[in-house]
Amino acid sequence: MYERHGAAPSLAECGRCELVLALPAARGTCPRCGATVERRKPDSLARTTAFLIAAALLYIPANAYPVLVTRSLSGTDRSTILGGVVELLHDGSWPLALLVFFASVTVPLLKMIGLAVLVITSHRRSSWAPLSRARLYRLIAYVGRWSMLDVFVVGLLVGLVQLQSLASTEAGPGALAFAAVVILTMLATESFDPRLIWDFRENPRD
Amino acid sequence: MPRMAPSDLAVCGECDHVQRVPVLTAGHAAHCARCHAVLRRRVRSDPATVLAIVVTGLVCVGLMNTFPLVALDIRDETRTTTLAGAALALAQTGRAPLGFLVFMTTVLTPALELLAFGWLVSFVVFPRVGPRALRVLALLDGIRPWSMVEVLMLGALVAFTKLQDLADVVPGVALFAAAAFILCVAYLRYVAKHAALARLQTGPGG
Repeated sequence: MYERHGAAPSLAECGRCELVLALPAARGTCPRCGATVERRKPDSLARTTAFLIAAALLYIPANAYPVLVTRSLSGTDRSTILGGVVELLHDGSWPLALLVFFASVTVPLLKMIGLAVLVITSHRRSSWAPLSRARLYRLIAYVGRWSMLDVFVVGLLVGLVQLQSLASTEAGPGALAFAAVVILTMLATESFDPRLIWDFRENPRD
Repeated sequence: MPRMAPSDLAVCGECDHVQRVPVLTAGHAAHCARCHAVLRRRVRSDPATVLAIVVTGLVCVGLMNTFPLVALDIRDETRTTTLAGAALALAQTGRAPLGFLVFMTTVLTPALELLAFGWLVSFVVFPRVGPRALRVLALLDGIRPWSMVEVLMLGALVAFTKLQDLADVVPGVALFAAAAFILCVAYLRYVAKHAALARLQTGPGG
């Protein structure tokens, strides 16, 4: 069934001041607040894909290399993300282990796989479950920041445990890669335009 | 120059669906009929409360950065660190990008966010919401994903638990200030934009 963009195909809303205005072109200026109003984020799929691929590539060293290196009298301990989770389990703090696992493994994977699904389905103008996809996008946007948890844990430990001859800690190369993954997935989320999810309505697939 | 449409219309920012919205009473929100995104919200707020929260938040930002987050008692030594101190330690141990990231997400953007809220609120308290006030809204939208004090709090919890075997962990003033900051910012993120937009529509003195 052919359906137009609502009652008048060229209506748009200013993202800043919520003014509804007629927008015949792809881009215009809001008469009330001067903000740029765009029909779609420019190059959304291309930028999101680029950020996603970079994040996926860096996810490997983020988990392979240690995030925290502790030098003490008993030797040097290099722990990776998963190694840190296991260590917390051995210490008996399984709620914290679960938390770190969720923030450092579940959330980044959810973001990367979720955004990949969104990009692929939007590119193919798929009409599959648009409301669920919209909710997936919202979930990714809200939950994304929590994957920074391990970066802060490492940062605080490095800041505190500097006892010269007794023990010292430093952030491992895995921490840099992981921080990059977090930033890249956040940028990917910001680049994605959720309106693309609903674009199948203009040009439905055969 | 784009034409304006009747003011009971809204175009969903997440799916482009055009629909009519009823006049809202305080404490209610209108959701998109198609994708359930929030279209309009009417908040219960008075300028005095918002101003009080902003001032509290500013005090919290000051405390968060001047006082230490935690004190570690190891044997005879007591080590403390502030937020900036943790960022600096990361930079000094050869992980400057990480130090910068921690600094940006826990010192810079939270302070910037609260200052921007203060600026926005000044337009609401001394009612003259115009295009300049709305530019602050755009700034706030850009800052918000990168202001992550709540993630820091959880990270501190994990880090301090890890350190418990090593030493006596005593939470510092900055930690409690951070908790209060989170509450202030949560309120402002919910209220300030809609309070400002409501003033915009009714004009000065409204």
